[in-house]
Amino acid sequence: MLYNNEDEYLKIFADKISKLNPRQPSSDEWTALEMAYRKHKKQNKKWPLLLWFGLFSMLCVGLIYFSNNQKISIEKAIGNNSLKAKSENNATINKDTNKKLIGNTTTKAQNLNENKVIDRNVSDYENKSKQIEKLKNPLNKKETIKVLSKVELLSESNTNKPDVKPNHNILFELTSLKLKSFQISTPLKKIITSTKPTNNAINSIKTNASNNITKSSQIAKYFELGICIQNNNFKQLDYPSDQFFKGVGLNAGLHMDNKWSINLGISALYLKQVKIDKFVFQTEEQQIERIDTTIKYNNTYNRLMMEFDTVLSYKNVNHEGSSIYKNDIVFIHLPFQVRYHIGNEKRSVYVAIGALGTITYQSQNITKNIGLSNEGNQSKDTYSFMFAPTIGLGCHQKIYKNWALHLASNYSKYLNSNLNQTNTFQLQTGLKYNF
Amino acid sequence: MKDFTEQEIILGCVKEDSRFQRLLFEKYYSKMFAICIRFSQNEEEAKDILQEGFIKAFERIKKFKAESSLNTWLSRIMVNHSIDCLKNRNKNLFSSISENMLTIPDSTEFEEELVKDLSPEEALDLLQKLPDGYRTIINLYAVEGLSHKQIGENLGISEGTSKSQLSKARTFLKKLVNNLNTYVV
Repeated sequence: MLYNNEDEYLKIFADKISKLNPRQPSSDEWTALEMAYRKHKKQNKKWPLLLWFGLFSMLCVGLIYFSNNQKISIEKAIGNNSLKAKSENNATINKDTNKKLIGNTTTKAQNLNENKVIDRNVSDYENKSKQIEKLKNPLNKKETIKVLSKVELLSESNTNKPDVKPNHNILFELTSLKLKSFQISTPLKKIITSTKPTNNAINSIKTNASNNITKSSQIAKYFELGICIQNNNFKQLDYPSDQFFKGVGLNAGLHMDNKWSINLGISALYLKQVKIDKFVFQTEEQQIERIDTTIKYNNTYNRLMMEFDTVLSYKNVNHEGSSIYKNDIVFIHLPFQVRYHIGNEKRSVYVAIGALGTITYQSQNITKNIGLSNEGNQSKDTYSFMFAPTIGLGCHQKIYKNWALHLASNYSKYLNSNLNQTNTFQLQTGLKYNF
Repeated sequence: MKDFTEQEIILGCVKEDSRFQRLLFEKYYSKMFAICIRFSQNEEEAKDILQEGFIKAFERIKKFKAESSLNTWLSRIMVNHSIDCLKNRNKNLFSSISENMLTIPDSTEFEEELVKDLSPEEALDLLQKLPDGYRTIINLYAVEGLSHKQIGENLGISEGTSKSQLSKARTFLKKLVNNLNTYVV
């Protein structure tokens, strides 16, 4: 570095500093460092588990939240209906009557599905609205939801009875809507449009109710079960490139609406590898050359060989020998993805971004033979956690009822890796089930 | 114990063999401690920085590509970690310096030759009395030999700020040297 005149002063000062007497380490300092390093390693092993625990917790909370939100929306819609109806009619009906009405509602419910309610009597509709309000008031929220569930079950079981009068009430309409998971059903649209506009309040009630329910029912759950193969890029290791990891996985997620979904999963992949390597013991000079190669390419295989070389103290001796190198690797993948779908329920293509956490277990065993005798055996088990951002591309094709075929490919680039693994490419196929 | 080459020590550290880690620690201790003591205010702080720096080195040695010498690589880790520690302690290294400058009396008798008469221990003592920001910039510029551009990148400041702060640091140091006998922190 060049110093100008102004810096001459600093140069002299720096020279003085650099002439400080060197300080020698004490054994206490090494002990302290060793302990601190061990502690640091332990702490580092904990955070990935905490991270994934946090992600799983968030997903669980999300599932519970969306599930509750759906129920509350339905309840809210009923509440709105009741309030509006109350303002128009102050008639009082006792609890016994309400119970009967539930039964009536259930029995008459079938007509809604059969589109026979188009010409119903509007005044009767008003009465039923009032009755619902009375039904709701004496009960708490949980009981209301239970009643709704009961109505749902009964309405399904009675749909084929021929002697049902062409009558219905809002309660059943809401229940019917709830059963339609993604869209407003055709019967409801007909009901809304065909209702005689003699009472604006009732129309607005129904519109509000349908809107509320349509919004909340756009969330659906699904799971995917499948198999996947994976090509890992161990860039700096001596793995054959033509071997694939194979395994099974399970994903579960939520459709936020028709376009967006989130997905969380777990999959396990396994590779068993055996490699036989023949070699000639090397001279000391060649050994140094091998060490240099190891540093340059961080080559695990050569590193292991070095260990054996040290064990056998072969220096300056030429022998022929072989080593059997066994390597078992298990990958536990914990993917998290946000997907954007293009298409419809029957067929869709999606792009995904997310993160991939990978717990790796590796069991290495190397046996060295000279001639026919076993000269050394060394095994090593390692665990590691790797973390990678992921991009993916996939598609769904409906094949039967709620089942769809799922195909996907994902690419992940690891940010940290004890295996010197840089990236992973996965192909997945399996089945998807929509709840 | 057998003398191991640098490559063997690296290999041992990659395998997390504590014997080789100790060898690395003992071999480079004095050089690394000299770096840490220059950046810190006292010996205890330097020891802490040194320990954390070696932990980082043990962790990252797997990524060591042998593009530079191990000594250079370790030195960079120690310097960077020292800067990180200073930044953690004082978010803005140059914020409170101007107030400190007021406490230093101006010297009427400017003698540049005084610095030549300093012993290394006195020089270190004066360096440690400098505010964190000035001490850092003098270390990086005069001792480590970094350019203003490199200092700017290291400290997250502009090249101009680096120059101006070095000028102030130099003035501050001169005042400390000139008032060596009278100034007490």
